Amino acid sequence: MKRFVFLFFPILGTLLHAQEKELELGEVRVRLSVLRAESELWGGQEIDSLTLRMLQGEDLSSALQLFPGVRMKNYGGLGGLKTLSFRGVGGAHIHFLQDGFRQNDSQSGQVNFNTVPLDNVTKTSMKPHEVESLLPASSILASQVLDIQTRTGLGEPKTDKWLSVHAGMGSFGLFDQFVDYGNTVHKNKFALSVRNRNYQGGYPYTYSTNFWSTSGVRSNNKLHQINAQTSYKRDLKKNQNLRIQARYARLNQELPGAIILFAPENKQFLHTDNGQLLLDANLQKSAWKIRPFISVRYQNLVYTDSSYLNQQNLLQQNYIQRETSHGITTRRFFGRYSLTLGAEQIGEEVLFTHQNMRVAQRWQRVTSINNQLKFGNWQLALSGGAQFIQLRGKLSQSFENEALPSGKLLTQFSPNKNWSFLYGISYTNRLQTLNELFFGQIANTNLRPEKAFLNQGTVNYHRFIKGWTIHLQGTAHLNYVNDKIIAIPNKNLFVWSILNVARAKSSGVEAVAELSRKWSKSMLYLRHSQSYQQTLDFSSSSITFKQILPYHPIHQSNSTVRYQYKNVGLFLSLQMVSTRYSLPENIELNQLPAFHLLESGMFYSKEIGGKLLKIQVNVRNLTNQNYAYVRSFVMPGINFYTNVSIDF
Amino acid sequence: MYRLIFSLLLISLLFSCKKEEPSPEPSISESGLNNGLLVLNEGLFQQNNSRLSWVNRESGEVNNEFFEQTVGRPLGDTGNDMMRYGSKIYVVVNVSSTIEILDANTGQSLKQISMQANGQAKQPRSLALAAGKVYVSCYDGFVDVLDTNSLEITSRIPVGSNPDQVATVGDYVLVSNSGGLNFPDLDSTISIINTASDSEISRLTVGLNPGSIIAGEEGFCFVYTRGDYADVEPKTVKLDLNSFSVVATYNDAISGFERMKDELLVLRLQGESYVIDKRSVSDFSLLESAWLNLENVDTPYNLQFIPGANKLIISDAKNYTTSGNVHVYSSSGTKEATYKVSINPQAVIYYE
Repeated sequence: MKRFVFLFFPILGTLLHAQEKELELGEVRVRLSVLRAESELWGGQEIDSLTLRMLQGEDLSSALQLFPGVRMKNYGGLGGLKTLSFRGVGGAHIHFLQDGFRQNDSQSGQVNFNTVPLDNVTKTSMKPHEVESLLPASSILASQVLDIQTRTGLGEPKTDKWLSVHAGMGSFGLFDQFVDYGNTVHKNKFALSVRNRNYQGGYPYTYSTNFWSTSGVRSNNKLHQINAQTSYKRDLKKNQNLRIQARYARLNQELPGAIILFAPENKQFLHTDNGQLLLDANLQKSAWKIRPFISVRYQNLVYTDSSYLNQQNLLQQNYIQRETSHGITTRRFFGRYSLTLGAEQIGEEVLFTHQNMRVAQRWQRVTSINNQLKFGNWQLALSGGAQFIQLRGKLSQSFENEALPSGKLLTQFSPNKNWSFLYGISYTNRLQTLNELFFGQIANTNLRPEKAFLNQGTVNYHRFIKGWTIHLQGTAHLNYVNDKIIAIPNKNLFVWSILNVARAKSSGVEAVAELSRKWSKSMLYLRHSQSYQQTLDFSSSSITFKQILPYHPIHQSNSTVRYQYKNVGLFLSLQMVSTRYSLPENIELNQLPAFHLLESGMFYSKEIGGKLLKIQVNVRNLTNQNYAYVRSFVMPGINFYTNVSIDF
Repeated sequence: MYRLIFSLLLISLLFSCKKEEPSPEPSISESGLNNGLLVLNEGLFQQNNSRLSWVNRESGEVNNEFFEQTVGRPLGDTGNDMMRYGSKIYVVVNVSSTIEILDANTGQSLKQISMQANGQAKQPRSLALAAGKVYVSCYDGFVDVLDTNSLEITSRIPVGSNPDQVATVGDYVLVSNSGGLNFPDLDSTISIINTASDSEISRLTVGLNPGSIIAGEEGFCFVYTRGDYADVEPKTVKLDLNSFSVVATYNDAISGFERMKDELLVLRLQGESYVIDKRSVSDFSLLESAWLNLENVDTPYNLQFIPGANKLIISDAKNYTTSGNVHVYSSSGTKEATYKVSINPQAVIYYE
């Protein structure tokens, strides 16, 4: 085993050694294995709060990189748009939940992970099936659920009362502040967190190809971001509670245009205000669990291009998005069998204030059923349901109706406590976004939903050997996406349309190896993930048939080392991304070079007068590599981030 | 268990990426560029991948990184037009808002003009030559006049909104004011510029979203209007440049045109493939239907007749996102060669 460890973590030998002393890690919870019992994860993966804390990521995208099937398209540094695909399937297929509520944007379908802070996230998981909490019906039908829980949303609070303040600063004019407060009085829990972040950007870059190289300072990515979140939770009876949450996010940023190297005078701004009011109850009695929920969301988005060459010399587009969702999910246990039923209604409306107010509306009524059965060493989860869609475009007076079935079957076999095997198959739909349907010149009202047919096989091995916790996971997938929605020029280069023209096939394997050990005063955690993924254009009539889709690197790996001794922690991570193509044609001119990113961090905590002082310093891109994940979107070189926090 | 670990990891490590042959070096002989084609590839909007391809007609080799290798920097984003005048080549790069001036003999850069006005990109779009000056339409509502000796912009002529194509017809430079960036409120006019005074002397309404302009018989020209791509259909109008008026309108569904000697070559879709008709330069009447069948051309992107060499160049943009082709035909319609170049091949300069 030792040989294996050092084969994949050659850097460790010189850095780390075990210590047999008592751990004193303040309130930071020690969790030795990221991957929990396989039976709970159903072939999924999870990242705990300690890894997230040591990572000190800029945003949620930093954490999601650790999932080996994820390909994160990063348009550049802090504030740059970041979108994901998972095993060749676009991000809009994945339901993103924060504290139990869906966050996908109905206008764009995507989540910009740049806008999701990591400060008080206690857990992040990506799973094909959820057994712990009761999800909304639409999420039960989703192929994968990306779920984050926050302390302010009262996800796993560790104490009855807390107050934590933190101030951080980093390279290129980054300053942030965060306050996190929570209190419990009798049966009432209250939490509030506020985060403020200012970023000047302006990082130096060098961008090179075979024949030329250019250097400069990227200067169009200023950012100011405020996130506020509050929760109130009332324990009603044993295992019964009521929760109200409110969230607000404001984002003001310069948009780093796609041509930053060649037209830096572009002046595009994005202003977003996003408010949410969320209410749910978790009621458990004998063999019943019930969760009713309501959410209301309002978003105002203003895009401004002050250098646009129309008659006003200004392009300003204002989108107002309103969303409501309410429903109920209930689970009944019958010994080894459980039945989960969900019903949800989602209303989406987008107002576009260009010239005249134009409206698009969509109602979704979703029903889902999930059967879960355990017999012997086998577990079976069978889900199915339908979305009943009513859609009305900006010019039509009546709604169009459509029904979309979805289904999912997962089976898990655990012959003993060490091994488990999972196979899952699912058929899911990704609805057209309201942007794709109605807004802009390229919209297409005749679009059909994307259909994904997904296969996943996972092997887990989990064992304790001489104090070491070992967890290995291997996954193979074969996915097809039909009626893939893409934008293509269909009349000339200036007249694009969004069409259902493509078919994609993704196949690949992923491997995750984790080792951890806890001594009396120290702890060591090692993780390596490696993925091989081929995501191909599988449209038989396409010129690029069987060529790799843009920005889907074949190889990607992440290695993480975390070591703590008493109140000092060290963190080292290495991410490697192989070559990828910027366009569907797989020729050298469209190829972007591979890169690796080395990051290290150090954490120190000390209790002073009953208060816990924590200091962390992270250095990113240690080798000062010049790279761009997306062509021309240069990324920052070596940079640091440090923060000081006090827990009262 | 070791076997399992290594099996899983080796599977993912055993695959390697395909290494492709690099582009050939530019084949510039001691006497300079000759016996080839210089092709401007537009690339894709906001991809910074506009390129010049050098095609060696003798060997058939294509170097798609000619500009990068010769000049040592990228051409930029969306090169829309290119022309040769004397010993210089002019290239307009729309989104990067630059004009590149190259030595026509070597391809070396003579000057890069940054097209900015009051801190704003002018976004140059197309080129025309008249009276020893280069006229550059710019999306910011002007036609810039470039002195070919000093290589400076000497004046700016205000025209309509978002001027698109520019062409020389007799003593005039005509500019189609598309208004494309005001969509859906598109422009419908063309501006007529007197090249002696470098001023707009007339603005005519011709139809929604005017595009290509081509000279007809003396004193006349044709303008192709593109409509709104939805309700308003494209059409072709004939202008009388003596009376500055529209004298005829043709509603035939066409996709573009080019003048070859005393005839018009008109591109249109027939069934699922494109054909070229021959039409009269005087009254647009059909002379020969389907003179050239373009079954092997997916997306004709530019028709260009090279008078000196008597060649017709047809560029094929394929699906707009992959490498395109340049087809060389004789003036009798015989295909002589096809070269695979870069994305969205546009203007071509032919070297004997």
